[in-house]
Amino acid sequence: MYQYDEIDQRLVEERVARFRDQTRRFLAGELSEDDFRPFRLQNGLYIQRHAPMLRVAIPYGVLSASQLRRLAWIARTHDRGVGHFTTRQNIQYNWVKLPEVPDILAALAEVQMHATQTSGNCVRNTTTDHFAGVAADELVDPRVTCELIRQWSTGHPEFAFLPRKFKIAVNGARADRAATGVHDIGLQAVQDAVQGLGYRVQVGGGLGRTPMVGEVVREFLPARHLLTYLDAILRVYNRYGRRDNKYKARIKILVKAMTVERFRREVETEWEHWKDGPATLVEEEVARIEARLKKPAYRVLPAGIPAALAARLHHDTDFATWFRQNLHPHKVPGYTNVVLSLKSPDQPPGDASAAQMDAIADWSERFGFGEIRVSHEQNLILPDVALSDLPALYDALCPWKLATPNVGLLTNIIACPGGDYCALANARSLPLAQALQDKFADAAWVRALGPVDLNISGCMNSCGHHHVGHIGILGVDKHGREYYQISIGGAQAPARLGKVIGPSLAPEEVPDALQAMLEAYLKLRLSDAEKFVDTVERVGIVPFRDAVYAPNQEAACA
Amino acid sequence: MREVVVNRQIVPDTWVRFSPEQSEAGGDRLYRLEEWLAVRAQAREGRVGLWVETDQEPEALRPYLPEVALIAIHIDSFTDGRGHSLGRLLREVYGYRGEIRAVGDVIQDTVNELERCGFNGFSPRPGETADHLLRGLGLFSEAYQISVERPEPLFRRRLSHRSGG
Repeated sequence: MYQYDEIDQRLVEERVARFRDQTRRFLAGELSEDDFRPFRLQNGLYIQRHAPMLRVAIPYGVLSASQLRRLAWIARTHDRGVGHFTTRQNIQYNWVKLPEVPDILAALAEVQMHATQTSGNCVRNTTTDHFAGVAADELVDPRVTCELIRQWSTGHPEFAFLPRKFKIAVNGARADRAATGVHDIGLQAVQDAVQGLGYRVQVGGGLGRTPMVGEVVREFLPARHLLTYLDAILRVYNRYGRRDNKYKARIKILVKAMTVERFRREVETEWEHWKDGPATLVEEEVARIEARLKKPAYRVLPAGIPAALAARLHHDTDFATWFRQNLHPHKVPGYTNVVLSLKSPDQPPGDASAAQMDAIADWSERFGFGEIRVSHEQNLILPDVALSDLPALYDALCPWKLATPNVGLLTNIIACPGGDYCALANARSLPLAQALQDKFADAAWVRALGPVDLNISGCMNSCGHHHVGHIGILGVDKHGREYYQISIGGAQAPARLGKVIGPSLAPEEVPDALQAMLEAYLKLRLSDAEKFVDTVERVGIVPFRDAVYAPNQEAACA
Repeated sequence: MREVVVNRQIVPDTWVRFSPEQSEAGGDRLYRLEEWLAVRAQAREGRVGLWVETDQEPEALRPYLPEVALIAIHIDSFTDGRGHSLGRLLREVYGYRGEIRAVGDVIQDTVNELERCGFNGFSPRPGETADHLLRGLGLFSEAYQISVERPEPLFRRRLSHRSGG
């Protein structure tokens, strides 16, 4: 994580003081509900079904052990002992009390955290690859870029009231694990032989009601121009984005209406005002941020599998399954990244208890360098675990139900909180996720399917990213009843939007529908190397639609 | 007389919207651009101000900037952030030095950012007071970004602090 200096610290404290005063005036009746709304949203506070919900920023998904302990403390002290990790690498508390929120923000500020701009029509928390800085396939560490953007966007005076929310994602590895194609701005780091580090800039991607993949506005933006170019994009959007209809207010609609060519010209014209000006980055600032990102002191370890680990792999098949499924290659020999699945069969996806958070914080210090990552797939990650420590870590994880070997598999369900908590939702996500966990309880069968991303959103706002799930499920309201629309063939990267297979289904029909599609896939695939999503790409959606709907048609004909 | 905030001082509001029915008797008058163009040739006493909406293209104002003492940007709803960009453009690109005043839905909680975007005048909405607006200004001791208020980003100040010892 980036360690604040005294100025960063003062700014976050001044922000808390401002919100404390606003909350006081709201409670005293001096600030109306309507006037208070945008300001509480810009500090992460929603009014939900049961209670206010507080969304705390986890900048680019990186946490220290002490920060995770503070999140656990907040869960215990101000909530019901649980936090929900989101698809945007943040954490949400569903049971906070409004008068206590300034105190929660003050408690966060003590550990260099905040809830700034986690909601509202402003630049939101920047997201990135959850293996940033530790992935074997990395070109550049995106965390420096993310921190530059965090600072630039925090309290940006010009962009406090954009037409709509604005999400930026940064990826620095060969594989795009940040879904850059479906963000308002997606930055892919590129290393140019002559010009050095830069970014490919995509604009106008997004999910929601009108899902779109972003357009490339600039193939190569030299890194020093990052902030001035972002200013130019945001200004064009702030001035010309639609404000008359919230469903047409995202930048994707503007880019489409303008065409990307004209949008690019507008941005370049605006950029002329800023380019090479004072906000142009200097190497010293990049070096300063790099120095403040705590770098682990890796030991020199032998490459390859240590003998004790090999022995455990040989005689413990559960351990071996977990080892194959939940690890990700590390750039330093002898180390690995361990994904702690928050998708055990009886757990709402992405939820962690305060006790689990405390335990994870302890392991991050015992087995790593005191750092934890949050993935947009709603899992937690312990980076920097020595291979020789894996047996001990696994034994520690199991009693806490944090070793479910399902990362990348069907049961690694990504889901928004849905209608149980969210006031926007048309349908509930969590009971459906539970029904699917029950249906697909045969772990060996699920493993035999290979990689399947299953995403559930309770409404068109698409917090569960259903459009980019290999299987996406969207909750809809049909005459006051919950129904679910199924799409298939979506992918996070390269971003591809799924296609709807047919009419929406009643909740009790969904598990069987998925089973039918997956059985069809097992028959259709060329080999077990062909993933579900690749089979869909090859054969189209028709065989899957038939698998789901044909039995009913036969019944109707009979 | 109504009170407004100008340059962090509470002062009486001397500006009156132009109305074609009223005879010209001097004093500070606010015109829409088309109103000003219609009467511009006539000699008059008192200062001239322009009343614009947040979607105003600044380029259309360029020829008249030297002759107007005030540009009132009408913010119909404080969640409309276009005025923030317009303020910065007028200051940083068009070099306008007169008063830029926020009028309309202006409350204590929005003036801090408007000031950073080049606004130096604030007219409180009905029910809000100039006193409250003053309290809403200057809430932060530093800022990361460049703006009218601080033309250099924080990282350059950090740099000069360190190299300056």
